[in-house]
Amino acid sequence: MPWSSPTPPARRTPWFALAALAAGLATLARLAWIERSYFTAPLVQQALDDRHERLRSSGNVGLLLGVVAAALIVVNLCYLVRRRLLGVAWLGGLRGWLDLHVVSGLLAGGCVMLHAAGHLRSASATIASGALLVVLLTGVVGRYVLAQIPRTREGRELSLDEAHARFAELRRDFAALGLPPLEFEPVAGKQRPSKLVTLARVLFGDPHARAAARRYRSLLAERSPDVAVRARVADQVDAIVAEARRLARLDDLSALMASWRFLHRWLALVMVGTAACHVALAIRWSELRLGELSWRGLWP
Amino acid sequence: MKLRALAFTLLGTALVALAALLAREAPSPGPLAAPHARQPALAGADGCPKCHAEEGLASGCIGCHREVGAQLATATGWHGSRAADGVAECERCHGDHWGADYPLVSARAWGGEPTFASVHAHAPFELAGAHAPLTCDRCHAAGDGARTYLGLSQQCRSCHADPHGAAMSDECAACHSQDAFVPAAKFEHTRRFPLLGPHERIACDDCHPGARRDATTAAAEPLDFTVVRGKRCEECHESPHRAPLPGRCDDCHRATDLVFAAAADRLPHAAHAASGFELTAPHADVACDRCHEPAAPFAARYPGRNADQCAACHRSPHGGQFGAREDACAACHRASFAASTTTPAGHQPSLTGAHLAAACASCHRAPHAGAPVRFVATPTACAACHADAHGGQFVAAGETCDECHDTAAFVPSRFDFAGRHPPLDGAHARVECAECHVRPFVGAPIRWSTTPTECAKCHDDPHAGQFSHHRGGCSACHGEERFAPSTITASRHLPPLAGAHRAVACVQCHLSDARNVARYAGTPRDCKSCHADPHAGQLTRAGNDCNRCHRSEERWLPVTFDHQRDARFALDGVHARLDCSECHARVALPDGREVVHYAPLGVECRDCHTGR
Repeated sequence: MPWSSPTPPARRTPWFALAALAAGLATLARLAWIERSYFTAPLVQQALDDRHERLRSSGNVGLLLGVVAAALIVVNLCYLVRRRLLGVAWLGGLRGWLDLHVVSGLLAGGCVMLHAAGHLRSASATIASGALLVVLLTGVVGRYVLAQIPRTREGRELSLDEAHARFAELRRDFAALGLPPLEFEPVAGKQRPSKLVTLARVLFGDPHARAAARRYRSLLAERSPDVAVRARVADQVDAIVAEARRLARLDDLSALMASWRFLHRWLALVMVGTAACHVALAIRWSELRLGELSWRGLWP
Repeated sequence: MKLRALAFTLLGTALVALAALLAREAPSPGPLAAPHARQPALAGADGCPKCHAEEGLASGCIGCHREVGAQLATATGWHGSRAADGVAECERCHGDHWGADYPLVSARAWGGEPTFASVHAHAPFELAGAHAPLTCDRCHAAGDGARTYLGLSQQCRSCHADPHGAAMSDECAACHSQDAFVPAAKFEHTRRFPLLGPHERIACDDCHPGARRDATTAAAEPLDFTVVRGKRCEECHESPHRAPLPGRCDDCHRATDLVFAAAADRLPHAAHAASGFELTAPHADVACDRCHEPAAPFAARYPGRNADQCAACHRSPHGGQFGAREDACAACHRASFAASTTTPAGHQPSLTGAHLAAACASCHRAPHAGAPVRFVATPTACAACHADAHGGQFVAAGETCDECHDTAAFVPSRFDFAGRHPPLDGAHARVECAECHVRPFVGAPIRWSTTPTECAKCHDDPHAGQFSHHRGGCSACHGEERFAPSTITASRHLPPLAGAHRAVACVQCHLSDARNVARYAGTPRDCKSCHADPHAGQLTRAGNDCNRCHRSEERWLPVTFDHQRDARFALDGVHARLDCSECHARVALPDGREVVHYAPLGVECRDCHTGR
């Protein structure tokens, strides 16, 4: 039996991944805060600033951020390779790679923002940065959608049968509360709403689930005059209704995730292509002083 | 699904291709700065290699900014001085693609807010003087509106119009400093012609007619200092001397003289002599302004006097005594007015004796205060010059000076002693005149004709008047040869002296009193007044005198005493054979003297014979 509680336990990100993400983002945020007067200054004022030599895109700090961003993107793309090599066990678990993918993507986005120093000056940089931003946003959204898909304790997505079994458990739990039967049902192959509607429901909430929850609370209030018991039971009702609604939407979420993966990868490839153009352009026309990169400059 | 994937693949490829195309065709990371944006060659993708050359960005920059390249190559100027610091990496200071408003030369480019001192110190053109306060754009302003700090020529003419035209050298800085064009502070006029004294203050065009600026010259006419009126004095100055003087102007005149006449103080005597007036004594050492009035105009100051025109400067002190010869000063005066050339030998009338050595002024004196010294009709009588030393003793007798004195000397006189003086005997014939002829009182003339002949008038009385009433006077006892000894002998002595008294000196009896005056009158005649009593008064009795036993004046012994006759004890028997001292022994007196005991002596046996 895969369930030991009405809702599956949340998957916990390893502490070192969180620490790496926090340290990286804190470093970037600190640099951005300290040098905010430079990063927010107009282009000409930036160029006249004494910090320009360090913080401009080709400066010993700005260029370092660009190089780090490029490296992080490369690391980030390794996740795609890992997904293609599922059978290679020594490469580690897919969840760890996903954490690395998320952390490197977020940090790369932060590095690129500071590398650009607040200004997108060339077309290639603009396209690459825009692509990265879109990829980053889709990644965040996709990661949220992915978290909404019901999973087994091992993290695998539930199959439709497993969804039905879980739904039956929820229905029993619900009946034990003395309420009418749940009106949701996970059904495959029925006519699904559009992916945008599904995405909107994921992001902003399911109006049907909210309406059902309100109805069940009203019933609960009518049947249980004890306020304390009613409050405790109401939470259970909300959780059961929400999970039941997700189980009922499983097919929609799976379809959304499939499309999202395609789009995310496609955007990532476009981003990589434009970023490569940007890097090539910088190498061609700029006199990059890779020997002058300053790690200490990241911590002024 | 495959169609959708294909579409997205194509779309992605197109986007990447678009990005690549943009990277190729529009690689600029931002708009160029205005100076670069105005350059057509730098426009578009084709312009990129102009700066971003294969050899590097600096190579591209220097390709256009050749002045910077020259600075770097020669290690001069701002860029050359920083080549070692990496300034050759142009973009470190002069980044671009930061927009049209971005100043390619900014404080960041200078490494701080630029100042003249910090920036221009590296330029091989030191800004000083009038250049120091100028704003940069006074020199660094390109005609097309662009601004550059490079490429200026250091030739002054590149900024300043040359007021000399082509007449002078291109090396303006050889003469002019940055402080001001005029005066040409660095021009060393001394190397060509030292500007001393008044020459320092005269205008340049006084000597350089090519530098003249007045109504007759055009403003644009170049200032030509190459033409000079001359360097010799006479080429610029007219000589004010009436007659040509020997030598060169600068023998007397110096360039530092404020006025032409200042040279007079240095006029050589030879040159003065050449003017007709030889500067010999007493004029040799006279200050010039004693003869040449400094305040007078030049012609009046130097009128050209002859040496014999004494009256031009000197006023005759003779008051016209010499009449027509009054102005012929040189006949008598040469080196010194006071020392006339008239010698005693040439004096009229002739001078003799001491008059030859006498100063002129001894005889030639002003008759009264304020009158000129009298030379003509000077009186020749002795009394006109000499006071009568005799107080009129001889004048009253009608005698003249030359009867006793001549011009050689007043003393000794020519007085005929043997013929005119009363005869003198003894010591009087040997004494000096002045022993007898003395001044009767202080200030009185020596007494000659009225000299007294009494001894007491000349000699003091050593006898204190003991013989003042003696009828014979001094000569009764003293001769003219000497005062002592006197002419009194033992036989002429009153009373007459006998025996040993004839041989004793007068002073043995005539003793001096407290005034040291020998006593003659009233000299006592008793023995004890002169002789001491050897018997200590044993034999002194009334009526008893020394001559009772010692009657002879010749000697003290033998005495005339007869013991049998004159004593109370007759010497008989054995007593007659005894020595006197047997009875008259010598005894000691209380005062210590020893005397022979004569009296009182007993005549009884027991007085002598006691217990024997």
